[in-house]
Amino acid sequence: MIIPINKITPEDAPIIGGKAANLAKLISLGYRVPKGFCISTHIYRKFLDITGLNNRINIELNRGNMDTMRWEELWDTSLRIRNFFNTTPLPDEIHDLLLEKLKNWTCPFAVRSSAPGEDSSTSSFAGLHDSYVDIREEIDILEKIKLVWSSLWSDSALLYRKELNLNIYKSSMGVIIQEMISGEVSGVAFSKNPLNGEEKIIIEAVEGLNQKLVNGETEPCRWIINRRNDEVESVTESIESSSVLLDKNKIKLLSVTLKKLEEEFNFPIDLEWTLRSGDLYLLQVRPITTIYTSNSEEKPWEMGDKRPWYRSLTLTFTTLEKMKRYIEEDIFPKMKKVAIQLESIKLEAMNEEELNIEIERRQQIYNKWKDIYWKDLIPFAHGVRLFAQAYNDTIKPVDPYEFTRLLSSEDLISLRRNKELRELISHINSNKKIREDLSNNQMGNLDKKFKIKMKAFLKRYETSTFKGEKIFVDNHEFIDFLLNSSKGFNERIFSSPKELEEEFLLKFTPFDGKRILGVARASWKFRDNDNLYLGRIEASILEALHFKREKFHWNDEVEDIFLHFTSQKNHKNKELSVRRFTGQPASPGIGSGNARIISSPKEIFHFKKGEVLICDSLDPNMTFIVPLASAIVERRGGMLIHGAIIAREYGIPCVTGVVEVSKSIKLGDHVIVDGYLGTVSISDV
Amino acid sequence: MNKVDQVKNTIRNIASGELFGVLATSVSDVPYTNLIAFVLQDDLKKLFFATPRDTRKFKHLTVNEKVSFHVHNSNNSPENIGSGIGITITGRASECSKNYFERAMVLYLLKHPQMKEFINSPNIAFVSVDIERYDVVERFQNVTVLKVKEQEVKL
Repeated sequence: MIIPINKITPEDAPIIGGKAANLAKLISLGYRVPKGFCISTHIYRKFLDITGLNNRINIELNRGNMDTMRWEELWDTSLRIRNFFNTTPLPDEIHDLLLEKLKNWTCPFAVRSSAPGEDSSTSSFAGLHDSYVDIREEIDILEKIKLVWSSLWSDSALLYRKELNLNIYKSSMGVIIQEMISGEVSGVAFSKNPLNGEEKIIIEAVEGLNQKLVNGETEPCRWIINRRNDEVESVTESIESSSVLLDKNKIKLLSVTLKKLEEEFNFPIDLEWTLRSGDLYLLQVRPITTIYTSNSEEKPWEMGDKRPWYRSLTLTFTTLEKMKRYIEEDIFPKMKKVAIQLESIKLEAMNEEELNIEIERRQQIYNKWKDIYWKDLIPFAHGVRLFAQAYNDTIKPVDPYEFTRLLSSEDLISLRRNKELRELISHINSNKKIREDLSNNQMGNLDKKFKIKMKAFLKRYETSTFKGEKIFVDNHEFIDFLLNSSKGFNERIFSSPKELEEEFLLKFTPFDGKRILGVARASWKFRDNDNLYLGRIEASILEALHFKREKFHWNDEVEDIFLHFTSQKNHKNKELSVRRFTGQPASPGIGSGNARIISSPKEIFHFKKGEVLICDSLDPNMTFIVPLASAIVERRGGMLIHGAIIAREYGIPCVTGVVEVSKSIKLGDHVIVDGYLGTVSISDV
Repeated sequence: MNKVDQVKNTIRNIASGELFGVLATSVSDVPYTNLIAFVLQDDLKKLFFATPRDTRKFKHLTVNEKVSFHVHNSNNSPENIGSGIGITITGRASECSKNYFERAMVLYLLKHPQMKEFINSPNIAFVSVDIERYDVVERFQNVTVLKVKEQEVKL
């Protein structure tokens, strides 16, 4: 079912989508709209049926409960589904039908999404589904059609459908193929202010095509117009430079058109337009999307429903590049400085009142940096997502996570720490006397060089804490760990493979490819390092609390603070047990061994080579035991969590997002972890 | 069409129309059943399915190769008592040999394309059941037995 836009009737809306229906209405009202046709949802459905993708998508969507999935897990789901589309060729029947249709049209084209149910007066999917412009090759058009289809399953679209209570299983996608009109000036326009709903007309314009404007990659010239008299109230640039783009008459033309459209469509208008040789072409019209702004004083990342905030985390590479500089040059140095300052304060010299004030001050400092972490550092992780999409769309790998092999970094703090730990262990391996002295607790006789190295290690990482307790302390548990780990402390296996990198860069201009990769690598690295910096600041509060407990009174108020940072609830169900779980496949491979559940610092040092590491969330401070693990299972889900990152670095199978994990797996259970399928089974042998 | 061919056609129709069936394994006199996605070879001699190795059914198969498998076309309504057809297969299961693996996988994916990611894990074993007999139940109580080895089914 392929329908020319000018032949679409209102009855076709359920199979061609709101955007296409709106374009048809514009034509019937006499507006200029680029010629084109719409590929109905029947063809989308046919593609899914013939290739079996509908069932594969279904399996992915049922991997976990979507109501409880974290945003990162949804992103993973969406990434895998997008890769299905990328790696599944169009069946001949559909391929030939589309090519036959395209031969009567002239390139270049715009390929736009048009999902039924989107862009109604009560909901707008603006920006959630993909559209592509200036596509010049037929083969590219076919690829872009698949990408538009796959954008039905983007994480933002999945979240939005859940928010609106739309049935995600019934969602479908039409595609508009339109001739490109290369206007001299293009832009967007709103019949009301989309930021605050104010009764002002807003027009934004750029020279040439408006794709960079729509993607947020360029700053447009922006006019605010009085609706009553179509007079310009303000403009972001000087009158001279702005009038080069749009003179008074053009502004009036757009302003009048918007008001007319608002009457004809009966909703506030969000318009994409272009001007060619003085003629106004309407590219698409839809209801205004309310841009996410929180009126509440509550921080968006602390709200019960974080979905609107998650959806707002879509940044462009330009924004991410700016953020990278800001994080590297400003945030990280300051975080480090604050941590060092806090660590240098001598608590011993304080009396109880001074210590109370210090605890409060440390909490305030921590809260400030925690907010920065959520506001700036979490959104920066979006760089990995954009890279993943760019990599998978261009390379089309079978493994949708192949991109992570290009992101491995020597600079992860946790990897540096693990390397130093491995050096200590290899000293023990190569020197029998060191081993004996450590085993017999003859510290006085211990090799001096080794002793200095060990002390230096403990000093360097003395601020690492887990659940409020320092991890690296010069005690027998640490020594036992070194002795027990001497056989089998794995080296990381991945280095950034040159061939993959070259293949990726070939698909872009050298500048763009390196730019994307640079942002993505920083995004990957920061994701590990930011937690370690924040962990040091958090450790300073716990240090003060521990000091208070030892030296002064321990009251309910301090207990509350302590519990806030350290508590963990673990409910075990005696009647029911789970034998097999499905989570997210986070690092490929199959591993098995006895389970060790890590929920306290002591348990960290009891971890033995070959055991399966089970935890609620893998704290970056404890990832030094990862090289000993045969597999990792984590309750939290997502590809960007530390468990997943570090497991991939060491080539250890990992499954994340296993909701019931700490309730159902007991110490010593023999478990089998399949990092390909994302399953964990408890052996009943 | 002779009776043997009719039965064979019935089996083929049901097996190609139904995606899932129930596999029964047994160890130490404890029977255990599972719903599995299966495919039947056109000559009716072999049935294939895929399973992770870390499952109870696979462990059972490695201890006791004797299995039974049931598939039917009922749709859970009372009238199915008279119109439904149920087929019970008995045979011996083993992990597919290298010779059969590719063939089994192609056949399996043709019927179950959604399982593409599933079978990519090295943890997945392709199991082949060498079928010894079919018990075909029609019209409530009519049971026809097709012994595969004795009949030497060749198509």
